[in-house]
Amino acid sequence: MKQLSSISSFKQFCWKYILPFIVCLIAGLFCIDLLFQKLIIAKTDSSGTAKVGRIKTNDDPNETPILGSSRAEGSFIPDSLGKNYFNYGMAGVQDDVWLYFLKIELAKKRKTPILINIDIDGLQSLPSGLIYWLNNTNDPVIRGFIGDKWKPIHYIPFIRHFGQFEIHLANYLKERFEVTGATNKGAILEMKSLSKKEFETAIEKRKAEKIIVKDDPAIHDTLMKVLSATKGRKIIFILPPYHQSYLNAIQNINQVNKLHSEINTFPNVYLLNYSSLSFPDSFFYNTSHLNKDGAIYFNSILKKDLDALINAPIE
Amino acid sequence: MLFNSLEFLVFFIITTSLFFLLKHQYRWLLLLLASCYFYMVFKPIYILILAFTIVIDYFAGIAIEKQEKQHNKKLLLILSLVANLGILIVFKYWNFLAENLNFFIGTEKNENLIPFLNILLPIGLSFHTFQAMSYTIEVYRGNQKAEKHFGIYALYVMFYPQLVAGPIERPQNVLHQFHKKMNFSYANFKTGFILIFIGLFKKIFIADRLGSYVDSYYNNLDYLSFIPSVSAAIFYSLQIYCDFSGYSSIAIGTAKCMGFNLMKNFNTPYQAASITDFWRRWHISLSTWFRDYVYIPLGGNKGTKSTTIRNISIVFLLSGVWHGANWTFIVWGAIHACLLILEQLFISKKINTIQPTIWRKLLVFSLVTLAWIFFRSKDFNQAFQVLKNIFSFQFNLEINQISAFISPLNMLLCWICIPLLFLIDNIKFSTYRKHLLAFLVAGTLLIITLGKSNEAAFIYFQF
Repeated sequence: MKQLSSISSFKQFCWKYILPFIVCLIAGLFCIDLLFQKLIIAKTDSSGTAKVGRIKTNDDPNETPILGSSRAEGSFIPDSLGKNYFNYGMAGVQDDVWLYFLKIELAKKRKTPILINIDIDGLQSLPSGLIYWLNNTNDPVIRGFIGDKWKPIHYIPFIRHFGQFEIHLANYLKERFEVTGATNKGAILEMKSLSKKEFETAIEKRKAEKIIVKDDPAIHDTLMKVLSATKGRKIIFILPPYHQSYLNAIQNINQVNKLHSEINTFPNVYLLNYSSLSFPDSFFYNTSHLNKDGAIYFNSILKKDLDALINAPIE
Repeated sequence: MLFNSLEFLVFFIITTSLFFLLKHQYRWLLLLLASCYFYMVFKPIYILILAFTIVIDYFAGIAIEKQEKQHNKKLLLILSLVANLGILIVFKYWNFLAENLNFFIGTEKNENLIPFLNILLPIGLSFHTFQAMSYTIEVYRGNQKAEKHFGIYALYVMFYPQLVAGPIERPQNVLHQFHKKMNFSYANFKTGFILIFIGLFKKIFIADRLGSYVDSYYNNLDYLSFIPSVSAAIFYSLQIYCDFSGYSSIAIGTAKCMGFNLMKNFNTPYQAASITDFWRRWHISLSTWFRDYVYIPLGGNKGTKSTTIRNISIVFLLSGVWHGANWTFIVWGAIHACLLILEQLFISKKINTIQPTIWRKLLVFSLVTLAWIFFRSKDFNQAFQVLKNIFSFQFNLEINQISAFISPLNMLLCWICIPLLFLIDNIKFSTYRKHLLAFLVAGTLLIITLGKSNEAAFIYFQF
């Protein structure tokens, strides 16, 4: 390659080439970020990022939120339950996240009930997927959710979404084309069903496992405080069905029962436990999550109980 | 410190800027300190191993040069090689040897006759050991004068761009460059910058994406059929190429920005029309190392058919062992040895009649891809399961199967990577000088938007 004698100094080189490169790059990133925020994320109900934004800003007085983890996301079909339900379940999050959502929800002026999927394996807190939180990193609670996944790159606007764009795009396409999963107002229903052999392997694995239910004391205390301070709004905890092999792996079911009875002491708080409802293997995506068929059947049962409960006065 | 990290970007900017700001006589020190820091980020204590080999080979080089008797020179060379290989054996092969020897000699009472060592493999050990060995061999052969400046010699072994994954340089190519005063050159910087960009694109956009599919395939091996198995085999071939050639490209580009020329390590290997041709294009610095220091000294292809077969077998078994302490690597080397023997000695004329060349290229790619299955698999069970999945020809067209249980978008992008790789390997950047800025901006945007952010380590780091 010919050496250009006119550009002799490093400084000149930076001005002539590096600077335009950086300027063009920033402009390009700004446009892509804007495009993604407005056209992809905001238009994908089932995206966790959109759900975080929605729970913070949505003030529709009629909305009934459904909170929880991936089990909430895949088990509750808003349109099957009623007109104004929205599924805020997010895969990979723990109880600290729905508790945070619950606090936001309770601060609103709504009167609608709040549905919460509560997992059977205890109240837990763990860092969750970075992608959900990158638009709200100024919030100290959210920074806590990210934990040690936080890197200096996340300070840099536009670039901070590096590696996440594809997931947003995949979620967007998933919602539009429904090839691998059906979606409905935030719910993602798994269409994949394991082969008999695969499911048997999963059951064998589960049989070999011993699940010790443990409640994080900090989460437990906060939950109790929140529940005792809540008046006038119904909070309904729901346990969707688990595969029997999962339930059998639990070593200390007393701990689960203890938490459930504590929850039941609050007048406006209810617990609907379907965990041991007998479902065929074909209704499960794996031993702890329902697939689309399972979710449809479960919601048909849940709707009846839910309607009766919501219409009943607070005791 | 990984080349595909933000930390490296900062490190590179600081080191390169300081390099040009400092006077020539202090630059070696800057590069040596930078290289020490670069290496110590991985595991600080292992710098001592490097220091040990540097000291041994530095003095061995001077002593070999001083000796007049050939016998003494040879003795010193052997001592230096034993020291280098000794370290390599202890850190890389000890547990493998112990495992196999214990298996053969073990009885119920003394199953672990040879104890296992609980040590981590120092990063890039095989690379810098081979580079250090090439120095003493070349001094012994009289092709290279012994380096008197200890700092410069240390830099030859430790130069950070090629310290952990090559290219495995020869002293004749690099040592004199460290003495030469390098001035900032726009042409060098531009070439270097393009090479770094190509390397990052290959690594972050192509290799890591293909890797996500391959990893998911290997994690769900028992449940996947023909299409995902063939896809995973093809993707791994391309992943390992993009991963390693991407690293080499960044290494060469980083050095080029400062004015240093490192040897080319890859030359579009999957466009090779024969296995011999493939080895002229793949990991050139290692292939030529084995050619110069093992194959030719053993007699190369000058003797009888049987000596050629022996020499090829030795070189490729050593090449397999070099890659890792596992039988799967040895089998990988053995497969290549068989293919090469078959091709060079028995069917070379027949192969040349296959026309058009594209069919030969596809045949070579298929054979190389099949061999990579052993390279990728952690044991023979896994390798045979992949082969079983492929050769049972069971077709399952369910989308989750085809996409190996990760998103269909990922699979689509994996296939898009193939023409992109062809494009990036064959494009001549010098002809698109006017559009270079647009090209670089578009490529960088593509990396940031659709690249994988997991900062996956380079595959060849483990060697």
